Amino acid sequence: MDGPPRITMNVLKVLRLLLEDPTAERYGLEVGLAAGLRGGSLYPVFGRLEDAKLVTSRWEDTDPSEAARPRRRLYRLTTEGVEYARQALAEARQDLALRDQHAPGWGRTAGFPAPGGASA
Amino acid sequence: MTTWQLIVGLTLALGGVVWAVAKADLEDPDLYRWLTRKLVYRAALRLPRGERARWRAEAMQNVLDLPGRLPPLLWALDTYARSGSWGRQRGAPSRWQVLVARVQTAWHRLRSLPEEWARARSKERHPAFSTRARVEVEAEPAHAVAAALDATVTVGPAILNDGGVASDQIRITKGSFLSKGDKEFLARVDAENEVFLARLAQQRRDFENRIDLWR
Repeated sequence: MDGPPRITMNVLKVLRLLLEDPTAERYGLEVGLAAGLRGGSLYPVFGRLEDAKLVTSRWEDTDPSEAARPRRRLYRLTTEGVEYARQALAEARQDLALRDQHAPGWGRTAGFPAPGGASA
Repeated sequence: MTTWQLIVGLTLALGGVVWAVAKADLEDPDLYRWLTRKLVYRAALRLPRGERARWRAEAMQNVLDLPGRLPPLLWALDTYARSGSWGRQRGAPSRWQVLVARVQTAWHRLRSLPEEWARARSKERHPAFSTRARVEVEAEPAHAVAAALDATVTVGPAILNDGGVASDQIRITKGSFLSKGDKEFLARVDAENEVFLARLAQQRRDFENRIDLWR
């Protein structure tokens, strides 16, 4: 393991989406559209998470000619990744709650859940 | 018609043509596809060599999955715009480092040019690199081998000095080991060899004379 990646808002957004169903495999575009990230932000996040062994990826086992589309790269959280994501998200929520308490309106980012659980 | 009217007229006409071409191009879906693919390709080039194929394939897959003309282009544009920091994060050198390395290489090459020229000139002067001398030098081993063969077979006077005698001796001595057809063949070869060896000997003499001149 290369050590945990630097926690950024983009990393948290991706972790949160993957943590919704840790056993499910999701492909990049799906995650990107749901998290509001485009390629330039999304791929580096996946790269960092993969380097830290928090996420595994593989090419889809479908025939592109049958599926009438190129094969997708599927991502899934590893066991360590699930633990790490839960912990990182909990810390981030605490952080946001603290900021809300002391400086209401600051530190809230679109697409990231509010401390209560509802999306901001 | 005044000059400025002519200029305005020509500018408008040229502008109309350019606009028509640009409009037709912008409506062409192939242009978007080409541009998108180009951007993804260029973005992947900024990554370390071993990772390019994987990320290029993934980005292309995502781009092809997006509907419409502009969304894929925007996705590719974003990927390209951030590919510099992405590449550095993956361990690839920055554009600046690449530029510095290229300039350094060019500078070293430029500085070594006089040396290279001097080396090239010395090669030209050296007999081993002269075309004419090379042919003669390469003939030397052939001459030596031929002389050695003849010497072992004939055990007699120097062949090169007296071709006729050597030829007979070779035929007689070799005859004890060879069939009739082989003997005839060898006789022909011997006759040709005499001319060839005489020419080699002459070349050797010329070569030695020239070596003396170089000294």
